[in-house]
Amino acid sequence: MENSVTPKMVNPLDVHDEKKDESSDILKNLTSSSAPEGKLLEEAPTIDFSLLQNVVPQQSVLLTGLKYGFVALSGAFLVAILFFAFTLTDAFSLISTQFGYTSLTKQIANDNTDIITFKTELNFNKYLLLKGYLDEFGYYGDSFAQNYEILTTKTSSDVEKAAATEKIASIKPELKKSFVAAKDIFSKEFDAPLYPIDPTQADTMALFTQKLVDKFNAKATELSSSSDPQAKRDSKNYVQIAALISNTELKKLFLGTDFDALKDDGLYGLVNTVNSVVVNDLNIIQQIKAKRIKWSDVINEIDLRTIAVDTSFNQDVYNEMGGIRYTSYDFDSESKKISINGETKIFDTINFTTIADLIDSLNGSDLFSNAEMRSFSKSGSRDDGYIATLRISLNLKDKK
Amino acid sequence: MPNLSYLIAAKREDTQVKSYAVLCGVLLIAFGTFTYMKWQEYSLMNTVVDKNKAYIAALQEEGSNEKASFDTKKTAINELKTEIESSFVEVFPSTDSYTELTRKFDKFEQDLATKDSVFEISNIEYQTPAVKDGYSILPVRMSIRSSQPNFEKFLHYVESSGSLAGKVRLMDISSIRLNFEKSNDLSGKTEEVINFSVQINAYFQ
Repeated sequence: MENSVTPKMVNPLDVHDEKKDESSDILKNLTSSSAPEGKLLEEAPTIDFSLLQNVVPQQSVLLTGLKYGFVALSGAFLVAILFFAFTLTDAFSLISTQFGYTSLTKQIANDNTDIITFKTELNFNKYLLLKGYLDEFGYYGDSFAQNYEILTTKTSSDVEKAAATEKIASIKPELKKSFVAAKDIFSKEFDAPLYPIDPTQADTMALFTQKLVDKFNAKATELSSSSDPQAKRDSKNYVQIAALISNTELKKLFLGTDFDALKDDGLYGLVNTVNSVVVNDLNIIQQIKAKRIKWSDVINEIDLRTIAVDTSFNQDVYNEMGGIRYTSYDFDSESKKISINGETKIFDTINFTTIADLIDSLNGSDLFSNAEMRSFSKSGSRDDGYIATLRISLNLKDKK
Repeated sequence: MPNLSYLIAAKREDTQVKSYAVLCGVLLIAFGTFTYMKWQEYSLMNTVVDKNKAYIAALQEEGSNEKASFDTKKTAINELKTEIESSFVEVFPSTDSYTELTRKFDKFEQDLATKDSVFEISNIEYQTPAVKDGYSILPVRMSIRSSQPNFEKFLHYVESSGSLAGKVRLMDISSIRLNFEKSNDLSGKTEEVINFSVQINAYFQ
């Protein structure tokens, strides 16, 4: 045997201890006299270590525990992954629907769709109402503005002003009612909270705005081909509302205005501003009206500026006392140029001073600028009076 | 001497214990973290689903109320629209409608002119309409002889035109030329008479 090893192991009884011989005569005598020559025991057995080759250390309980623990943890992890994949994602939608289960993501997506649908439907009715209130505000506002202008026109008679005051008093409650109702709608939430499944839909305001615009446009298109007058009216109304939805300027105006704090001039400004930012039939009319020049006020201002220079102006004493008399006016809205022709009659020699005073007086007005007359001439005598020709040109200032 | 393979096996087992211990530790941490985070998400989504259900129910109810509110108001809104549209036909017609405008001028003259206070429209001349952005203009040239008070009334008539309540065609004065003359009325009183030619823009859609 190649692997057999004979160790240096001997039977202890075969070992001869000389020291013991010396130290114990009794033992010496015993062994020397009675023991035969040779080994007492057989050869010591050899050990075959090859037999130990397949011997492995005993399996550790700890290792076994760890292995089972690892497997259990892996299993649990896998279950967790599957559970959350089923509940939180749509990765297994094909399988989950077989069991009638809808993942939370899908449920939320469905809820979001429902919220968008119902909120858009709600906003649709809100904006129909809002447009109604704005039309009402525009209608009464138009009447208010007309009467306010009568009230503020310098040449309006007292009777006209009294009637306008009465009318304004009756219109204001109606205006307030429609304004407050519209403001109330503007103050309500337009969008709704959506759980952000789709990151591109983070801007819910833009999403709800677009949905509502699309709904109104679709309704308008649906009715546009109809020959029914009411359908045509509704179609036009829907188009106007679609333009109203993204009108943030109007919303800010309503939310930032305290109606009760407004005086008549403030209310007049509000009506004009609302009409200028709302897209409706009144809008174009309002734009034209805003550019219109009140020539009666312009003529009145010329008269007042003339009276400041000639106190007897327009009192039918020109021939006797002299003064300023106009023979013609020319007004041009496009160029905003005015030219005044007339004459001055003075029983003195200061005609030119009177004209110069008149020019300065006109230039002192808030309505006019660049009043000028570069050439002065007069004729006559001190007894009959000197007559000087008037040819003043001036510009109308832009409205503030 | 100790068996080498035994020692190797013992060493291997020791290494395995350590490796499994590390793996179990890492796996436990990963599992814990993953489960914790996903559970948070799961809980949040469950809450969202519950809230959504309640919100949708509230939206449906609010939608029904809003629709009912609109339906109640609808008749009044439509009546107002009809009123606005009928005023529009007068104020801002869809065509130049010059015949109607002529009748209106005649009526205005009839209402204004008295024996004591003159107002005579001697000439009306309609020019070619011009199309602008969103509206059209019908230029009208008129020659009028008027007393001072009636002249002012005429100016007010044009200046306050375009009101839905007033139902007067939307107009503005683009140019005006006035000439003053003196005349004696029937009582012998001197009255200032204004001869003026005025260029008016009458608007239509």
